[in-house]
Amino acid sequence: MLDYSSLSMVINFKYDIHKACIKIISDHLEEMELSHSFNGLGEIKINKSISEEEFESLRNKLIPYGISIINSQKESLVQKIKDVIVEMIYLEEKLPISKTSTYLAEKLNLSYGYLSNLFSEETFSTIENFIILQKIERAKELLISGDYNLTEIAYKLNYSSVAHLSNQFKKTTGLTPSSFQRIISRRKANKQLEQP
Amino acid sequence: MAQDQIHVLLADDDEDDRLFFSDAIHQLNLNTVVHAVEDGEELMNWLRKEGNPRPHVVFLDLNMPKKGGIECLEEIKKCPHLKELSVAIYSTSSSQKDIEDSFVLGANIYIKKPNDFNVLKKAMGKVISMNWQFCTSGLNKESFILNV
Amino acid sequence: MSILELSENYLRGAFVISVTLLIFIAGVSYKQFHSYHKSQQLVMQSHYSQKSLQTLISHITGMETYQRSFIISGDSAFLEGYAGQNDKISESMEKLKSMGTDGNINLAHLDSMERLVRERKALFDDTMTLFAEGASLGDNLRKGNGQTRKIRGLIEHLVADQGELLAERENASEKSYRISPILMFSTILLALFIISLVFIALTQILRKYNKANRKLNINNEIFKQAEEISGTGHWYYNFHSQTLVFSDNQYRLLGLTPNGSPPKLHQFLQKVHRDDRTELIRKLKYLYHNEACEEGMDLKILTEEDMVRCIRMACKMISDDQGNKILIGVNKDLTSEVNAKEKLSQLNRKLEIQIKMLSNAEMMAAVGSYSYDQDKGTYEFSSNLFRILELDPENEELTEEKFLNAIHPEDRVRLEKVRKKVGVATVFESNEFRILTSKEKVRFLKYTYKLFKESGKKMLVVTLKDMTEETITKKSLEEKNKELYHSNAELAEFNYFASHDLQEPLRKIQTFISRITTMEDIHLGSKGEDYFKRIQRAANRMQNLIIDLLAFSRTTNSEKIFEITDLQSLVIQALNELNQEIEEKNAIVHYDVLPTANVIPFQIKQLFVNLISNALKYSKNKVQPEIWIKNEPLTQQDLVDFNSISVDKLIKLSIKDNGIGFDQEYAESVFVLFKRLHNRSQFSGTGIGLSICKKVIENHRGTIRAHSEEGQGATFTFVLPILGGQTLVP
Repeated sequence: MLDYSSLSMVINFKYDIHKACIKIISDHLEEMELSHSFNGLGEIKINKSISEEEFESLRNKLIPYGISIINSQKESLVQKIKDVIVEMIYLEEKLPISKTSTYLAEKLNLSYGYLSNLFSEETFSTIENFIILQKIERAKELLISGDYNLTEIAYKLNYSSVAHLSNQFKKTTGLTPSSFQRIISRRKANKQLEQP
Repeated sequence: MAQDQIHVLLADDDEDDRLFFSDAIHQLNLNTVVHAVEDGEELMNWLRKEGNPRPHVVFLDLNMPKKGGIECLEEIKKCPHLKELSVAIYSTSSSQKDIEDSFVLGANIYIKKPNDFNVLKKAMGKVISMNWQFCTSGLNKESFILNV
Repeated sequence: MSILELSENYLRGAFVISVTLLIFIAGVSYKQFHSYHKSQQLVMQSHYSQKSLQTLISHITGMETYQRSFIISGDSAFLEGYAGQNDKISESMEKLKSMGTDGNINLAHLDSMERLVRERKALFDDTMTLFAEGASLGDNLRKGNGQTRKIRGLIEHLVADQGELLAERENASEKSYRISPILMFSTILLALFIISLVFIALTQILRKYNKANRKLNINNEIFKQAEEISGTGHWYYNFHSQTLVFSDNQYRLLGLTPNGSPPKLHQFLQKVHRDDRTELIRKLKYLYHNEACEEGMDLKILTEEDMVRCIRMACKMISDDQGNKILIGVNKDLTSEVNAKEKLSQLNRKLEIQIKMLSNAEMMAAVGSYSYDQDKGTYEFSSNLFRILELDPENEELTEEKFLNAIHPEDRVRLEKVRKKVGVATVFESNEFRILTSKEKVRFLKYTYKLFKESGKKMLVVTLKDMTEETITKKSLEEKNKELYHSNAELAEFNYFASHDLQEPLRKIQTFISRITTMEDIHLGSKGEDYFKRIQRAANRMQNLIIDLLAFSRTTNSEKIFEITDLQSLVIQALNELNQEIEEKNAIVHYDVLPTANVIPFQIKQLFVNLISNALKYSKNKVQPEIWIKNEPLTQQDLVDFNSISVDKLIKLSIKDNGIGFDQEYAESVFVLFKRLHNRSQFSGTGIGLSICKKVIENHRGTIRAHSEEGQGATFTFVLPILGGQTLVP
């Protein structure tokens, strides 16, 4: 028999950030015996008012997970915009054809101009940039998964052509998708070399 | 708001480059604090010293006396406390090999030192905002690669 | 043989006896048969005579009756019967008489019978006459009766006699009948017995004969085989019957098929080669007259297939038991021996030549050698070894000891450790050492030894190559290589210096300029701004020069790693790199489906980048730039350029633009380093790009050509061997 305890191994996994966050928050709220419900878009309704101390303790508990409680109205709205965009890009099997601006305005029931201004003010970036960034992130994820080729990814993310995706990828990351792929696979190989 | 200050740490032995760097960042008006060190050893000491703020991005020149950028990069990636840091390589080299090797070793950003101050400003803006996005928008840090 | 002869005599005797016996039996049987037949005849005769006698008496009685009946009745009809009886009596009498002459009836009795019959007849006639006269007849009748009685008595006597004779004869016949079968049977049995003996004896003899025959057959076959194996044949010629007989192998020796038509002496002689024929005939004649034994002579024979065969022939004249003269001859095929001899002498000649060649080759190759025969313990030194050791092969001796003493003193200690013994000879497990020649010159030797067995002989061969010249050359070459390596390393250092250290200050100059020109609180004035722009241009140009020079030196010095690469993907990579320029110029790039080839990928990509950016750079004002990258058919000229490579192992691509083009006059010079056709103020550029292209194509052992006309766009065409770096291997 092999002594497995002396071997280390690499496990690759996929995860759903949203579910993980919800689970973490939910666990902590339950631990504090706070009944709650999720409203979606990063909102949680707590069924009773909580003290300042309880609030601080919750905020501190969630920091290690990279989850922060948003205070201001603006921040929360920005987060909502982000969530809608992320949801749109990650959860839909294929991106909606309609313009994202219309999609966002409809989802949040606010004018796109307002959302756009607010977003730029708060994030040093624009909604468009954020969308591109998220799409490219999604493209990276799909590339890393190895299940899709560039053409399929371009279609999935609503790019008019592979070249369009490539160009945007290059503009955003400074690298072509193929050199990105090469770097990632070399990194993996490197890690596997280090493991034993 | 102190919390929203962006800390960046630069390791470059060239005084002029440090000057360009901090000028460029300051001109961006992004509420950024630049900490600069002159070589790799000093950099590692700075990072390990308690009380120093945790930088959002560490900029490393490749060619430095005592400890080069690549050595620092490897050391940072090996250290459990530091490996989550965003690392940017800030170098004169435009060779594809240097760029890829840096990324493979775990660098997130590669900046070829431009020969135009305006280009440098733009690049810094992009790097900092992109890094900000990755830090604040729950993006996958592992696939954060940016070549400017 | 004596047994056979003996038994032959016995057999002859037995045969004669049995034949005699059989003849005897045949004679006896015949005689028996004959006597039996005779006695039967006699018996028959006896019966017959009895019957005739009886008939006679009945006739007489009948006559008497007819006479009486006539007398009594007087009827003349009875006279007819009476006359008939009279004739019949005479007839019977005649018969009896003939029998009597045959000896069956006693003639005396027959005579008295005849007399009596005659008297009775006379008595009858008398009676008739008396009757006619009418006289008394009584006396006559009485007399007649008495007479008849007498006749009857005689006949009865005769018949009795005959009966006796019959009985006697029957008895005799029966007697001979009884004796002859016994005699015959016993004789036949005897004959059978003898014949059986003969049969047994014959079968035994036959068996012996068969056995001897079989043995003879085997011997015959053995002899045939022996002849075949030894390549001999024999023949004999009977002068009396003029027949020539060949053994099977004799046929073969003469190239004939065995059991063919019987050969004739003159045919045989014709087969003998003309040169030898007269001599052979002379010898045969001599033999015929002298009956001497002739020593073998060698003959050449022309076989049926017109091949010359050498045979040795020995002849002898003998006489057989009938005094016939028979010439016997035995031949042996010497062809293979003669051929082997011939071959051996040829081989010897060859060997001599080879030895000469070897010693020549040794001299040319500066190789010396010596061999040591382990069994004999003898050494042999090649003449070139003398030369290497600077000894005179004519006047000086060379021994192993002498050779070992020639080893350079500085090398001896080292060699002592790897010294080995082969018999009494010394070998070293070493490749190289030095010697001091008889003239105290140092020579470098490459040393090898080999042990092998040659036809059971254990041999040691030591080969020594004079490496003095090579070693000296090698050393100087090594030194040069070192130098080259150093200068290469220096070059690499320079490259690094150029790419980093040289660019650093330049980059700073550029950056500071860019800072100054964008600073709001500094007023340079229009002249100052212009100067700064000029400084900036110069700095940019310097940077471009550095970058291009680096690229050029990389194409020359960097490692040339060939990989099977899809050229189309390289074009796409090149287009990606040039994305910005293409967009700026709003250019259209068309490209074919391009083949795969063994190339240095980054260099070919560089080639595409340079050619495409070139096309973009020299585009016409106000005309949308278009670039075509196409597969081209190979021309006769290309095949001449690549005469060692087949058509299907070459690829030809062209990159065509619709730009300003250039005069065909410059088609060659565009590839020259730093060569520019245009003013810098018109078109930026370092004059290195196309030189890099040429260098890249040269690295791939291809050709590149430019074709253009002023204002008509330019076409760059290059041909590459698909196998790239492997083309050197045919």
